[in-house]
Amino acid sequence: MLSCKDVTHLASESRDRELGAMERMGMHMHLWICKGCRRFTQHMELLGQAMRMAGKEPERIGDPDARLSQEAGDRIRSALQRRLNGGGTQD
Amino acid sequence: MPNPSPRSLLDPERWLQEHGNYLYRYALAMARNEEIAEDAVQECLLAALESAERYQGGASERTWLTSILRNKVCDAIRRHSRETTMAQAEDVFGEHGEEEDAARFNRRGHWAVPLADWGDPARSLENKRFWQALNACLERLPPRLAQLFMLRELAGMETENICQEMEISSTNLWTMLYRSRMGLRQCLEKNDWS
Repeated sequence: MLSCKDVTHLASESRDRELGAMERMGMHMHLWICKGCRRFTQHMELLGQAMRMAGKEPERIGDPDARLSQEAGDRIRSALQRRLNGGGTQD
Repeated sequence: MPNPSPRSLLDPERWLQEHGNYLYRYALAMARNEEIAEDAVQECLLAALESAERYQGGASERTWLTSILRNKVCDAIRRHSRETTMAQAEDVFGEHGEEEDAARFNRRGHWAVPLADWGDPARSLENKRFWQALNACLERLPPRLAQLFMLRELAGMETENICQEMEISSTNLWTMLYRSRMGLRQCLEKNDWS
């Protein structure tokens, strides 16, 4: 019988790789009888959903007021300009 | 004036103005380091310049740039971690991992502390306090863990891809993602946001 600790590993890894048939079965049997681990998988699901949402709306995560500094902007601008002017002609 | 070429029609200056801060915030959320984020935005726009001929305008310009940005953030993190000693920090966190687990589970591997009911996920996602708590918890995650977690869950990169880009084994990645999720879950549970 899998322990809760084992199941947390499987529940986490199921989000990153395909579990084997035995792993899946062991996990589901455990979840059937363990409320704590059922809650754990719900928490993982919410976390995943929140991050997916933030991937589409990044202003939800981090500093919404963060701006490229003037210096960084200038540096990027001149790098782009150099590439536009000096980059080899392909045609 | 030089002869008009496809390149002269490109307007990276406008990309920078319209999307620069957006891309920067996205990169900053993933890399958690201003230098890396600036680096990634620059490399992203340079790469966009190279591949602009192939961009058919299917997806929005911003979506197109963001898809380029993801890999450039990886590159920038990797370059940066070669220069710093971040890789060594992983081992230190590895030891922490054991301690964290000892507090969460009893000797038989069962939960030492019961888990709270967080209620309806759809309502949590609409709850401003949930997002505040999540942000605070992400802040507290060790940078290396946060970077990998963001690449996987925020950017939605495939694990094989992350392993290649970040030059780590899949077992190592799974462990780091596990530690990130466990840490975030526990931190969220302590923050009373519901």
